[in-house]
Amino acid sequence: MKKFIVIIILIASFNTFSQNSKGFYGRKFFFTSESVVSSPLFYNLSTLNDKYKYNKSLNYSNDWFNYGFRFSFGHVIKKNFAISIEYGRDDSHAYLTTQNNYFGGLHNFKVPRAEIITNDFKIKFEIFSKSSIAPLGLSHQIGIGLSNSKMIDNSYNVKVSLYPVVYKSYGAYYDENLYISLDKSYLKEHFYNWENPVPCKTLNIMYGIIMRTAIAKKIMFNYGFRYNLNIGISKKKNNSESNYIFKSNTVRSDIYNQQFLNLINLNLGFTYIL
Amino acid sequence: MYKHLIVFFLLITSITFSQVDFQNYSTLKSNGVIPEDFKDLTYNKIKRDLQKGKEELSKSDEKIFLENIHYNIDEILHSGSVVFGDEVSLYIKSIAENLLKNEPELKSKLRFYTIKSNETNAFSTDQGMIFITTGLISQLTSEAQLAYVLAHEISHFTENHIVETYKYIKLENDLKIKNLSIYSKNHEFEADAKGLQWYKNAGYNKDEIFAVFDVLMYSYLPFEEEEINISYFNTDNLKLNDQKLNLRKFPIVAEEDYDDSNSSHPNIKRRKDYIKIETQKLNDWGTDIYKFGESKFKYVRNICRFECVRTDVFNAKYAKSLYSIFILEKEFPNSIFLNEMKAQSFLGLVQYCVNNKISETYSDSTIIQGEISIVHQLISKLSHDEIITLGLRNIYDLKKKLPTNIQLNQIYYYLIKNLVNDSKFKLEDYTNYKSSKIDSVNIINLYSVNNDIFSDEDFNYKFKKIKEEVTQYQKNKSNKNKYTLKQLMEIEKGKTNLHCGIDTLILVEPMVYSYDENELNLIKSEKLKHDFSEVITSVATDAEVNISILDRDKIQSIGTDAFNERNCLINFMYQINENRINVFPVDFNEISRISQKYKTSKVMLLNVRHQFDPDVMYKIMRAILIYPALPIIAPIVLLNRNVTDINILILDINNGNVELETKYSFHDKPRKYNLGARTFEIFSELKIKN
Repeated sequence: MKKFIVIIILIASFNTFSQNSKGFYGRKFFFTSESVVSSPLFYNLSTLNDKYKYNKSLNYSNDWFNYGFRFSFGHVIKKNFAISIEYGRDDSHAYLTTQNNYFGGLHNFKVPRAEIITNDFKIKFEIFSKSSIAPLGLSHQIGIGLSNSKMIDNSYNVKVSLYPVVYKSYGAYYDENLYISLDKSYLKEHFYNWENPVPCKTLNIMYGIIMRTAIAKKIMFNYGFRYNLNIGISKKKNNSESNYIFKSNTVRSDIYNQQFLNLINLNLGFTYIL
Repeated sequence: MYKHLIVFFLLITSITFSQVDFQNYSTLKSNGVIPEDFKDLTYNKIKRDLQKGKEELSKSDEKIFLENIHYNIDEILHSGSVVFGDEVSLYIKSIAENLLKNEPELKSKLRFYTIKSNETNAFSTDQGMIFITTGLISQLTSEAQLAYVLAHEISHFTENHIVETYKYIKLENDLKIKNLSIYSKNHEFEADAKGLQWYKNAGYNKDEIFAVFDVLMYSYLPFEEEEINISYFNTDNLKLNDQKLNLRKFPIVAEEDYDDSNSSHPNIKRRKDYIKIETQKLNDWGTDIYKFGESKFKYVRNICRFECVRTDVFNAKYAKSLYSIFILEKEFPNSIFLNEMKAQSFLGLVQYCVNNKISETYSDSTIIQGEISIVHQLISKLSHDEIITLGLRNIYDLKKKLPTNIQLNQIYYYLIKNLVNDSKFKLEDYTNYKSSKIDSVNIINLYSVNNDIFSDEDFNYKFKKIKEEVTQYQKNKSNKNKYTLKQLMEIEKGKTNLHCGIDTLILVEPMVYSYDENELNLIKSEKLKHDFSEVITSVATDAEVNISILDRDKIQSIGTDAFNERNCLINFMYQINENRINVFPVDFNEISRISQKYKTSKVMLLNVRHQFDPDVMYKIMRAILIYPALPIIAPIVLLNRNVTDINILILDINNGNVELETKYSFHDKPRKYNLGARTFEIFSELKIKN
């Protein structure tokens, strides 16, 4: 709340120096809603964890698209410059790393991808090309903000095989028919420390190239790309959490890994002139 | 009762024959209800015709054909030169209706329009429109000749010649111009023969048909061939030295049997021979030359001849306009219009001379034949100083003759302005006998010719005042050097120049041209133009600018008067654009009336051009070379692929000055509200005064 007040004061102070700004049809405030599509291509290529998806049964499947949305409220400061505050939420997936010695020996888990929700809040500076009338036209957006990601409790189905069939120099081979599903009640207690998870906060720096084109007197269609840099800022937990299949610290690093590799977004949406 | 009937009859005839006042003539204007041809949007016409279908053409060919035909015809209809419901068009219509009195169905399909052009031409379209130029009517010598021309054009329509020709071009592979010429000539013979039937049935004299071909043969000459003496240009104070000029008339050498192998029409001899055979096939020829009276024909022809003078002044063909005025003055010696046109012609000569373009106002004397060659030679032989003397003397005398005439006073003011701006004009050269410049002159003895003018207080006051204004303007211009680099860059970009302090405007025909890669997409352009036109009104209200839009799209709501006003302003724009100098508006009186009616003299032209950046691939290839930057450069290049320019021109119609000429560019499609937002900004900026 404190931060929010600071930003409002900041915008108000800019406004005092912007008497000559024109805005779209002379209006200076705008609201943007947009959907975000990103492809975790780099993440898929880089992570070594198994990629299972639960759809009636557990199948090996890559996750190709993640979706989200953004809302922002902006103010035109000058003909070619605007400032906005933005709230966003992304639904994505992470492939989690299991504990190797959870059952005290050789075993293998089949775990579906974990569903991650990321809430972010940022301030954006929109610099428009010479020919634009903010917020209409091509804008270069630079934003900085904080985001918080968490794994959601979605009653995951987990299978485990405790009996490797063949040992080889590089590992063990498990027979598909010998996997057993873990009880829901067991998973409730031992899947993850839902009560006290480690926070996954990131510092988000983004650069976007967004085009807004007017489709009505007060509505614009906007589309473009965003490049993100997400840097984890939460510290690790000290306790070992040996009674959970997924340790908070491991989940944290998996989420950070996934967030870091979310480099490009495609944004589509509408801007409403207020 | 009998007396009443006579009075009534006299009133009717006077109304019919005296609607145009040749003394105070003003250019032809459209009258009455606006025809559908003018109201409909072109893409609606195409859509409607596509639904009807043309059996002769495949669907794809039909679409191309209709697009070409409709857009070309609509361009002519809205060029500002076509009039409907005027006296000439109504006369043409009545002759055509008489020709087709037994064919009501065909009659109902046809529409007749007049084109204000000095081309000797008539043509029909496959939609049933028949156009006749004022240039053609001005040359004809009887109503029967006009009836034959109309019968010929109606035949082109009934025989579907336009579609047939298009089909022929599409079907023939590797079509040679000679083959097309033969095909087209066959259509002409066919139209000549078919038209003959209607002409004969109406009871017209067959000899007049041959006279039509003679008129066509000599149509490159002025509408009358009358001997002109150089003394016509003499005044009480100015005498041209006939002996020094040594002018001679070039003989008329028109031929009937010229080479027509590449022409769309057969030569005159072949047409005459063909029609001779065809006329012999028919019996019971009538003897009528006039069905609506000789005086009516001559009255309409005079309108067209007055239009010819106006068109020549419009096209800066001053030698031709002066010769036409010379002919018309015999019948209308006190016509104020002819005096105004004469003054405009002399002013034009001075302006072209000052701008070193005098050679554009006359033609090479070897191709000009007959009496008019004398006028062309005269202009070509006069020196810079002599043209200025001739112009000044004549305009001054005309102004003195009609002192209360606003147009002549304004022309006089324009003339002085040109003298001030002429680097070669020095008042002392004309007022001081000792000046060496005078001795070199031999056609006109400059000294003493204009002495009374130079001692005129009014002249001296105006000359001094304009000179001060010009000096001040040049001083301001040189002050540009005191600007900072940033300010100068802004001036160059046209940013600063948008601040004109204008809040009342007349916007004439905003245009949108949208290109698909390399080709102009006519339908898309028209739809965008329609959107643009719609949004401008609301934008002007938002920006608190009083704007009157004279636009084709709003023709239904603006009415015929506004349509005429639009055409008048479009003509003025063409006049300036064609001549590229600050010419005097040919329809000055009408322009002044428009300015008073709309309470502004500022006329705005908006022209939107959208195309795709042709260098997109090159820019991406360049970005690949510096591949780390590719993810940023490639989207920017792709998102900036659309390039839209809004060209803005604001003209002061009272003095012909260009108030603002600038380009406003952005990288997006010219969608309705995109353009609206940009226009809002333009209007908002225009209101600001520097």
